[in-house]
Amino acid sequence: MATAHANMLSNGRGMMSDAATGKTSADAAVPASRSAADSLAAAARGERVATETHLALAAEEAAVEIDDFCLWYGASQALYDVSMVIPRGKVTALIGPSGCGKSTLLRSVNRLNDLVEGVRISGDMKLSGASIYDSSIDVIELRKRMGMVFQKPNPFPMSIYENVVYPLRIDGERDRRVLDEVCERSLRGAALWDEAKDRLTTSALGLSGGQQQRLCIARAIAADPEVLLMDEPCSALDPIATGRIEDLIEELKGEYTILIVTHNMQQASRTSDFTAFMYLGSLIEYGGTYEMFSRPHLKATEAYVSGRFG
Amino acid sequence: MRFFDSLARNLIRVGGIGTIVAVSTVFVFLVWVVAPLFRSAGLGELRPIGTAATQLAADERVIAASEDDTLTTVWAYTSSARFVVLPGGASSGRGASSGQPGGELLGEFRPFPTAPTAYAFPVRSTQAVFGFADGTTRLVRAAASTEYRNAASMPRNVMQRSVGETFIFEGRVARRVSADQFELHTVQFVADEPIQVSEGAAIVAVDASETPTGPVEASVDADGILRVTRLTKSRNLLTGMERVETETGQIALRPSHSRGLPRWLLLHGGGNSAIAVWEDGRAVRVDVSDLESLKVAEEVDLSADAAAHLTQVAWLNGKNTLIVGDSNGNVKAWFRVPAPSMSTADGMHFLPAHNLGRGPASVTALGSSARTRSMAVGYGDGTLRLFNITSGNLLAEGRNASSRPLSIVSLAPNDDSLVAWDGEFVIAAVDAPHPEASLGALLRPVWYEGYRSPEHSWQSSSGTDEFEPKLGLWPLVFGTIKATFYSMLFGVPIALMAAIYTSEFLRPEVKSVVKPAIELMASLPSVVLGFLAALVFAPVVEGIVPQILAALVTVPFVLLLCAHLWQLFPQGLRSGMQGRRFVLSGVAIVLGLGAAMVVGPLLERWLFIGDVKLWLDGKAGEATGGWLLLTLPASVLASVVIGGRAERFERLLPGATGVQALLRFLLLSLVSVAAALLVAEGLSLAGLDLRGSLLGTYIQRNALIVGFVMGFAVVPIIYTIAEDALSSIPENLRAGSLALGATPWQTAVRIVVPTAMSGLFSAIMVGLGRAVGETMVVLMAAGNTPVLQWNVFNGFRTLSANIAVELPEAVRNSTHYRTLFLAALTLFVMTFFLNTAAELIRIRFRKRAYQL
Ligand SMILES: Nc1ncnc2c1ncn2[C@@H]1O[C@H](COP(=O)(O)OP(=O)(O)OP(=O)(O)O)[C@@H](O)[C@H]1O
Ligand SMILES: [Mg+2]
Repeated sequence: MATAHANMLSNGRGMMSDAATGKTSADAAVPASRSAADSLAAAARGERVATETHLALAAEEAAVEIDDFCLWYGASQALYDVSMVIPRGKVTALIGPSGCGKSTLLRSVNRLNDLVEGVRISGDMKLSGASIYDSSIDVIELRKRMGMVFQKPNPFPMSIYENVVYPLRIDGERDRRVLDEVCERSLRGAALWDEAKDRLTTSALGLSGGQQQRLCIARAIAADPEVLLMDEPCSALDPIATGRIEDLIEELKGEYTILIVTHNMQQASRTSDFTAFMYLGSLIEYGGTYEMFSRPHLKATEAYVSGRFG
Repeated sequence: MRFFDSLARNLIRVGGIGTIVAVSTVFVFLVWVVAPLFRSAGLGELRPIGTAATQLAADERVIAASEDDTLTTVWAYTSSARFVVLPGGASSGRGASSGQPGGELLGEFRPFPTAPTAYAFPVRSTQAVFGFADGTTRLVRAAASTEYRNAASMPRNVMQRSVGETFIFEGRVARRVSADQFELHTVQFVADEPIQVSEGAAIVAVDASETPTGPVEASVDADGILRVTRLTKSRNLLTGMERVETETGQIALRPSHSRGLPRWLLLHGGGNSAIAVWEDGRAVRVDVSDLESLKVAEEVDLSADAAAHLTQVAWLNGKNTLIVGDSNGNVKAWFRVPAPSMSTADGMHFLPAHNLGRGPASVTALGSSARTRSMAVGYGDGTLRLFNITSGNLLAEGRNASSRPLSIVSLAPNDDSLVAWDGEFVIAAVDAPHPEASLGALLRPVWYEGYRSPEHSWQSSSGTDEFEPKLGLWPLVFGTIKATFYSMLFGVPIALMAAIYTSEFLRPEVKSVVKPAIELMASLPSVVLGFLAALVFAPVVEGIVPQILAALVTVPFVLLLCAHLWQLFPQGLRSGMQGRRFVLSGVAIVLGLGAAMVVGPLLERWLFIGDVKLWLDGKAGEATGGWLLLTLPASVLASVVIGGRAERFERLLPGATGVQALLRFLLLSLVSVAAALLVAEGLSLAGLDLRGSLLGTYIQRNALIVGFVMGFAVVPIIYTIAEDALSSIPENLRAGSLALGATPWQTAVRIVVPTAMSGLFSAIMVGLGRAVGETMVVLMAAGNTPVLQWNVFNGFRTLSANIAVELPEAVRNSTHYRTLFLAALTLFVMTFFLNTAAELIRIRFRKRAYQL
């Protein structure tokens, strides 16, 4: 099981720590002329690659802070010293070639990786300033503060209604009025209400793929989480369903902090406010989406977003 | 490629059809063997043998008659005090067809110088007993012999007889056995020396029974004195001389019977009770077990209705059931049962158990079968009925052509023919191979001889042929259900819990060891399991019953307590030890068992008057302890549910810690024990007691043992299939639930188990199938007494064990044999229905999982 690494840097609830802010500024000072090959080659050699973090991030309030986070699957390291700040109420996209550790990073945020055999970590993450990996933390409570949407829609084999209220059910909520209200609010929130309201008691497995994915989003927001984690939520869907999910993300923005993994550059540029580019387990560059796609500081990023490799 | 495809397809098709054909063949075969049980009996046409004129004098009546077992000869005793021998059904039938003037007398014996005044021809017995005017009795033995002759020594004129043909030769019945061999049948009657029973008074009624110690005779003389004489034959080893010692007891039948002398005297098979019966139905039963002092046990009225008088009274085979026929045609069967309050001298009570209904005319003859509980009844209008007394069924009915009363009916020793006399001799073929079998007799309670009321009973054989077979299948079906129930009660929770635990909570390395280990259990041959259960486990368990009862409580309690204490450890230490949780829970279970060892004797002293077995016998102690076994689990369940609700409110309180959880757990345990005790005490005070139903006298080999051990056989099967079903649940369902903040336990209960339900259900059903059909374990560990009790501490006999035990010794094609096949068919049908139902439910579950 994961060994918790105690990093006692928790001060200032919901505010960016001074240390983090300082580092961000320092990184921003690195000249933008580093060649594409430089950082990628360093990452390939397994060296520590300093993240190119744009100054724009400094102004944002942090929902999740990630500090020097490393992760090993057994002997092989999957994440190398990732440090980033995920701004509250904004959509942050994680991009990068396949196998670069996007899902791993995402699953580390709600400690779903704890379940994987032989995972070790170092560094820390904080949710609203409180450590995620502290030994005193209750993982169950932590996960309840985050929602997660997976690549493949995974509705539970029960009715649509029960799927949506599942997070409340496991908390022992039995009040029908509360459940009904949450069900409607969540389904409306996930733009599924009109399609599903007449078949709430039918099996969720009877929905189409796109509807199922929206149901999973409804389920993820039912417990009113602070952060929504989405791992390629549209990769199994057709363009129309994808469009609806993207619209949905647009609507959810502001209310929820969203961290989304995507392989689709258009999707990243359309939906996200910030974009982080990862490569071989390292965070290479992180900044405002417009900046990242139009004027990336690093050649590597430019090469990737313009589709020249990856 | 195409070739292999079609080859495979055809192979599969052939295999599938083959399986169906094989199963159907088994079914058809079983039905084919069983079917004759329910075929109705047949009675051939009653046809005369020869003409009366050539056989008997004009005014000569037949008093008794019988056919021998090969049906070659019939003997009869007539009112002229002589025995006559005639050709039997087999010979006369042939004789008639080949133009023989059949029916002439083959022989005549006059064993007595003077005509007897009383006689009796006991069923199955080769001897008859006669009483005389001078107060003596004599036994007469029939001796049949067969002589074989070579063709060479036979005269020429019989050589044209074909093989198998029967004919009269030198006054004997002869049959050509093969081309060069003939057999000649002879019947002779030899009278014993007279025994002086009464001094001077004529004997008016006699009877005799053969007991293991020798014959017993009973007689009533003209003075109304009942005498019972026991003859003990002893052979002097040195001289080879046989000496007969007699011992006699007597009692005066009460003179208050102004109606005169009894018409019949009947001595029970065991020779310990005699019944004197008057024509008006009055009967006096005398206890003759002690010859020094004969005692009147009871007086009963055998008459069925006041307007009729008794016309025929006779023993059924075994001489325990009395068949009584009257002038209105009513036939009833009476026998002794233990008296409810020892109200009679011998503690027995004579009562009418079977009413065989009213015939068309007065009952004129009774002839009981020598091998079964069947009775042929002749009526005054020439009607003949064949009854089975055990089932009370009318097997067959026939009528003579002349409509004269049938004054004698007698079944041949093998029940394959009967001879009757209605002024002339008539014979009829009888086909009643399974008279005691009928659906009612096999499945409904039957009033067996000596039982106080109709009961379900299985007892197929005993030492003597006079025994009444009890072929009630229900105790066996019940035993099967009981075995299955208790083994599933133990096996299913353990197997399912283990499967859920391994698939949801165990680390892969541990799982890769645990799973094969449990599956290895399945490789234990069930005969070894049964052997261990019967010879090792049962004696050990017998010694530690209170500890085992205590363990049912202490093990879960200690396990949960340890889990709560575990939460008190610092998180760091806990996560360090995560991997060893499996080992730790093992330690907790051992601790729980240890606690049971300590608590068991205390419980025994407190709740079970210091001796559980004495308490279970039901004679002493209060019922509270037994009720606890039910109320405790119920109250624990209730407190878990209530506790679960309380948890929700507790969440609202900040900082629910391990200590609080521990305190809550202890409080809940205390409350549930208190509640259980209270309810148990209340039920006990209300006069309710589990003893006699779910609990009862402790037998060493019992359902608890079978449950445990058969659990061993069933657990690996259920476990394997259930574990596979659980493991096949897609990982992203689990991840989805966990990501929403569900605990692994909630995920298992709410997502994984319901999704895998159809698989879990098949697992249980496969286990059920195994438990229903399991033979060796129940055979060896269940005690095999076919009792109808839910009592956990008593044994049972299952259909399968019964077949295994009895089929090897069942006579081929006998009723017993076919009934065992019926048991097999029942088992087959049970498992078939179980599997079909299981499949239907499984499909429903599966559909529900996808459609809801
Ligand atoms: N359970 C696991 N055990 C061992 N190694 C793993 C496990 N999961 C992922 N990895 C490894 O960690 C690395 C990062 O994987 P991850 O799934 O995070 O990549 P990804 O960026 O999400 O890729 P994709 O875009 O294809 O989804 C990969 O090299 C992968 O092989
Ligand atoms: Mg991924």
